Amino acid sequence: MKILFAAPDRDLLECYKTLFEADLGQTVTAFDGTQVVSLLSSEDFDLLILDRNIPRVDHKKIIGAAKQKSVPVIVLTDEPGVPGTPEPSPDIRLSYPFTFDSIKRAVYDTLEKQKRTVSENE
Amino acid sequence: MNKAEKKFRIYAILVIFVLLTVLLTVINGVNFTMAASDADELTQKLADRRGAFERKDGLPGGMQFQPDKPEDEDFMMGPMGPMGPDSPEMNESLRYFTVAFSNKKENAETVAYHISAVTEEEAKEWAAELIVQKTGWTRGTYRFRVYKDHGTTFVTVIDQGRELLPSFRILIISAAGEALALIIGWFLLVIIGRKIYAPLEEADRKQKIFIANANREFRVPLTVIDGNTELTERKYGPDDQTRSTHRQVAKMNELVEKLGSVGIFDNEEMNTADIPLSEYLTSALEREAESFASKGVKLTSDIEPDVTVKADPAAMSRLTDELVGNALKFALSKAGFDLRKENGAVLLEAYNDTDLPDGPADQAFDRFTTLQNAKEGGAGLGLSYVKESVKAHNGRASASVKDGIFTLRITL
Repeated sequence: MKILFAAPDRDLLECYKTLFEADLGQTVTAFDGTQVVSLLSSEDFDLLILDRNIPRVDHKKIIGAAKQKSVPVIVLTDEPGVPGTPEPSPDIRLSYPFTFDSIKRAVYDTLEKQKRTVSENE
Repeated sequence: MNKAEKKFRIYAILVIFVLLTVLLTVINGVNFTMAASDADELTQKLADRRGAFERKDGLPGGMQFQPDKPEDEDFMMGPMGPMGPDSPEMNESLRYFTVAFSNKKENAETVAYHISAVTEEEAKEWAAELIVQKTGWTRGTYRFRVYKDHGTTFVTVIDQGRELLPSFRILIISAAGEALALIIGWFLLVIIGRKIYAPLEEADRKQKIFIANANREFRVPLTVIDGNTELTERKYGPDDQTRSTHRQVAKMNELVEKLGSVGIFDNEEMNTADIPLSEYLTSALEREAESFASKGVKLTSDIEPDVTVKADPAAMSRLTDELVGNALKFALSKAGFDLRKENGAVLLEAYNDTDLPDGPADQAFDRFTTLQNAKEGGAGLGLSYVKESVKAHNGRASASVKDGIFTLRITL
């Protein structure tokens, strides 16, 4: 599994890259929107974990780009609730603060959902 | 306009209304009482003269001729001349009639007839109607007196329309003045209310912005701390320090979640439904029953079944959780919950023993305020949420301590 993890906080990226690689698979990190867009177009990913506050490119555009390549998306938000529904919507929204276990569950849920969608389409 | 400002305006205008109404009622009441007293003085004067003043032309009869200007030196008192019943002009200007009844009602004889609005025949009929009474107002502005002299019953009726007109004018002016004062008062209260509440609203707004910002700023670092602790545990194995860090992070996460709910009722529309509050409270208590037991806190409850309330489901679920959580944190040895319907309202009482002194304890609802000594630290946001939630549902919440028992009373 190959994950693209995009967030503006480098400590977060570094810490979770290590954890993801230990438990989930290869993880590529990006700390701004242009990097994410560029990586999405140049490489194939099984999952995008995207911080809603990623700078330079609007997170909705990035979700749109990922959806075009059928990459499932988990959006990380610092909002306490879920204000409105951004279009196109992510597969799962996860609020900070979260534990590694909870993000791991979110990853499995998203991939499971993706699998079901693919098999339904086939 | 926020609720507090609206309340201030309504209470202030109510106070103005009540004060003005009392004042004007007293003024007009005294005015009309004095008018009745003046009229009674006149009817008494007529009664003393067997029903008639002697007029200059000598008609009709009376006891004695009274000159227009008495020669008594003390007659002129003060800067103004005599007024009302004492005026010597009264003899000539008073409109009245007196009817005497010798034995039977039918034997009516006009003793004095000095009035234009009533014919002599009408005067007799009118007097006959009044003969069973003593004194009072009749047909609105006429004052009458019934009295006896040597076996003859006299009925004297005087017209006070002219004298009452100023009193009625004062009454109408008072009512119009009060209405005008209320309108002007309302506009002044709007201006004053804005001046008073603008800084308070601004302070509240800034506090909420600060809380929202702090809330957001805490979220990512907490995630990083927890993640790094997880990494450390993986590298070196879990120990007391890493477990402690996880616990503290969990506490901070809880605080952050609570901070996120500060002010959520200010603008949001609630989805209300019939909520089975008895079930919500029962399940919240069941979830924490073991925690109460492990802390050695005796838990009692008296929950009336099937109590429902029209409310937001998520808000009610959180409210019952906060109440139970509060009791769990602060109870020394016992805690209890009562839920019942009372006079059409839902009354929820949560109580626990405490070492707080007796008295009202509504400060417990203030943000970041903890009144009681908690076995576990509290952020002071749980009851703040309870109060905001109850207010958003048009309910009331109060807190007090009596005889070592801290009681939260919620009416919905």
